Amino acid sequence: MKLLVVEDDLDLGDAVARMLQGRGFEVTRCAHGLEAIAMVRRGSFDAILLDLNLPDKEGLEVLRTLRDGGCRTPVLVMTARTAVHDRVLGLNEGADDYLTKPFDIEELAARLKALVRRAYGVSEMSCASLRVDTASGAVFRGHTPLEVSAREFALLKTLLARPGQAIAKDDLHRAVFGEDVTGQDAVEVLVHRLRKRIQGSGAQLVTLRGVGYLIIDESLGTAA
Amino acid sequence: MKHHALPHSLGQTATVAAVRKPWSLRLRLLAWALALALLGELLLWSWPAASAGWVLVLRLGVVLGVALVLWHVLRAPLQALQSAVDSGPSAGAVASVALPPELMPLLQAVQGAMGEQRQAIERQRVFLADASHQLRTPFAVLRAQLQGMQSGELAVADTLPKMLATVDRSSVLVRQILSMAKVEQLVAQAEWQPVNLEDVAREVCLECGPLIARKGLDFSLEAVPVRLHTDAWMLGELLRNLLSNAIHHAPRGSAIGLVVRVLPGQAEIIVWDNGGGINESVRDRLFEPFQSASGASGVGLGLSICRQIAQSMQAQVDLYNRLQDDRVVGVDAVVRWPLDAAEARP
Repeated sequence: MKLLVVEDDLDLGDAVARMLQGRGFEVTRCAHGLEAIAMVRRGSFDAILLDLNLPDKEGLEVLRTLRDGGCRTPVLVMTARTAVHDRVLGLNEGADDYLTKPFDIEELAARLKALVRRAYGVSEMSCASLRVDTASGAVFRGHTPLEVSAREFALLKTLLARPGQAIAKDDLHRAVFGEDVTGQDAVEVLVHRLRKRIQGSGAQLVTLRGVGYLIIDESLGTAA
Repeated sequence: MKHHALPHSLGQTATVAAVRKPWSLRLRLLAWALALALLGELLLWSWPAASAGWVLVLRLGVVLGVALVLWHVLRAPLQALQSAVDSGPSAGAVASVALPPELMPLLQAVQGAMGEQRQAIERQRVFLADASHQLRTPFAVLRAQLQGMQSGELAVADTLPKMLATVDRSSVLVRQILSMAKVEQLVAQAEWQPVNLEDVAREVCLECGPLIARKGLDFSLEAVPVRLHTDAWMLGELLRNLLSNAIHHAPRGSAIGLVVRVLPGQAEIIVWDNGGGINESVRDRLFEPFQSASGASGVGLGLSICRQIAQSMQAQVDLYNRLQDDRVVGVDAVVRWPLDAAEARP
């Protein structure tokens, strides 16, 4: 996975680059906005990690220039700013995801991988020992194939597109049933069945009642 | 040993009693107007051949005289007040200004405003002292740990996880201090818009989903639409802080939740947990900056940010221990909006 890291703090850029290299990324680094634009035009990257505060050009301006120039490469914005407006703006300007500094490097790697998967339709998704091949529609627990219905598969795929992040019930309903609004409890029933099927995979389907659902790796459940 | 002088303001208050009470403005004006009118009438009476033009000029003169007296009478006390205000909130000079009784309400209003400003300055001083301590301490800890590892006196494997925890704790604090400044800016700006409390609550729950899931909590949201006049980020910050507190204090695997509901006369949210409850004796202190219930856990700016946000919306935030069979089973964090600030939509 080829990644461009645009970060003007050399220590942070260096640490992030080294750790991402150890996690399967091929990292190119630069510290200036204009340089970043030139590099994106020359090379082909699978994803861009972009800092918002750059010495020569605002990160958002860089992003706008890239998008105006027809670049569709997924961009994850890193920001040290507080206000949510900046984040929203980032997303409006064509960023695909954002992280607030300081961040956890595992979280960064997971988000980048999910980003690339969404953008290029990489067919394999996973959480703990649960694996999903979106091309063939097959689901595995380790090497054991699991039996799932088409709707359960659609649900699982939507949840795994953003592993560890909660997804609103309405969004899930739309992803699985389209605009068909009949049966608001349909998602609940589906979740209940899917939860049973993936039991023992180390992937846990968590309910936030009245809000939505998320899928997490049970072994990471050590937060204070 | 050096002897400390009395604070300036104390000295000033002492002089107040010595200042002569000025005459009532009304009395002085009445006296001057009467005297001038009498003088005019006296002149007219002693001058029988006065034409209608002269009568007019004389009467105008009286009116002008009264206006001049008014200007003169008001000038001195207002100048005194102005110079007292100019000398700043700390001087206490305003307390010693001698004003006619008619201007006393104005003086009291100025004194009130300056008193508030003094209190704000004092709060800021305490905040800076606390913040300085809270921000410098983790750096001192990190530095000592790094040096200890450099010299080989501290074991790397033991020390690094501790350092990571220190960094995370400090990051929360920095985030909170910045959030506090942001809230202050938004409150001063006061550009409010209609915001649906239910939507914001849903968004915050989604955001906190990973934390809830990793702690294995049984979460539920019950909400109805409520329209508030505020800033969406700021309202989110209020809910985020209360929900993070609940997540933080909830035992692993326990139930927590958020309720948005409308009661007669008010709208309210309740963030409830099944944690150990709060110590009643420190309840009010929890809303002060840098106070936390247990000392070690939580940095303790969250609730003071909540109160600041609530106040900007004429809302009130309170913490209650929830009792069951006379036993504390958890905390209800409640924010109440009066119904003129909150508009329920069916």
